[in-house]
Amino acid sequence: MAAQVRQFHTLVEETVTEGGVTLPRVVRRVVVAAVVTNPWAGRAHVDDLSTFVRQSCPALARDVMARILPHHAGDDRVEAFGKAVVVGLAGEVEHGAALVHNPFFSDVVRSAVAGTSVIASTEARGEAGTTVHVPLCHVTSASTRSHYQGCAVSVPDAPHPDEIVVVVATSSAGRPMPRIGDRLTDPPFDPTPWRVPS
Amino acid sequence: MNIRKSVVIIEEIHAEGGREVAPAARVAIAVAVIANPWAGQGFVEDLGPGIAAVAPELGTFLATRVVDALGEPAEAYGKAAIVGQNGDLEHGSGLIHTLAFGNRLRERTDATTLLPAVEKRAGAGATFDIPLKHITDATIRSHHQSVEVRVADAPGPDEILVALALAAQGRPHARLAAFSPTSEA
Repeated sequence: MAAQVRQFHTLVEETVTEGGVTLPRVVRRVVVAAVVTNPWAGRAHVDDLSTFVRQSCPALARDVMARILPHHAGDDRVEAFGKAVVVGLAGEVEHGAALVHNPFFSDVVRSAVAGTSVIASTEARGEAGTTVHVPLCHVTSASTRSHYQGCAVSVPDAPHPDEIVVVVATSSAGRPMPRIGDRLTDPPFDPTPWRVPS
Repeated sequence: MNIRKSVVIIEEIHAEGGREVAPAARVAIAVAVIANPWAGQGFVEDLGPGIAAVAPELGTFLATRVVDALGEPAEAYGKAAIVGQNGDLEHGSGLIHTLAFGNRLRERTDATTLLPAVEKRAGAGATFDIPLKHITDATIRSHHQSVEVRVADAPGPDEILVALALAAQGRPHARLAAFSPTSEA
């Protein structure tokens, strides 16, 4: 069974300056939100969500990534990614989580951008137009500090109560003008004196 | 034109009212977030020089992007100017209500009608609805539509957000009677 897609919402954001400084290269972020029917909404509790996930998620992920990649054609590579779901009010957060936290979805996303990291994610339930801040991390090195970033997206008329918005976000780079070092460059720090009293 | 960021949004509608829309209805929006050319100058009486310096380049920038994003012949269009909170409403109107801006899109789409517009002053992240009408006959009822847009971090207080929107068709499953000024009560 394929996911029933009502709408694809594609957002391409190109940042040219940050803090008044012109960036050495444009930071390009692409977000695609697929608005799909929640197959479990309005039904009695469904315990086993795996059948629909296995059948529908590879094609859903492929259709999302097929809309993302052309916008990165001018970039050397996709350096960061993230994902999100917003479940309409007649569904469970678990329904949305089911669609993106599985190998059938995530491995298709990773393979499209030569990624190996766990994909940063957020899961929400809300009404149509809910803004979700998609967290992104580096595609092969999730702890790379320069690539932690968030990208706000909202689909004005989705999700309906019986829908789920499935989102993938990608970036050609880390944050504009990253300059807060990394865990490998941090000076030694002993948190002992700062322990919260028990 | 001092641009901070640009945004392109593409909507593909595959179903409406529970019925398939095939081919999918496409609407594209191109947004530019630019420094308000009159920021920090107090009340500026003559906006002409600033308009002449910014509007043609801005029109070309946005028209190119929105036409590319739509990827199909356009049938309806609209525009928007959202002025950040330190600016005058007139600043945004000045940049979009000039043929030097709008004709850049008309030339690329063989359009002839007025570009319907939304103008407002608002904080960053404000939602605005761009009205769209048919590109050669603004009375074509099936093409009256609007599209909602929001850029989370724009416009800043000294910025102006300017947008162009294109639709490849009218409303999905449009089925109202055609406009006729003589037959309607």
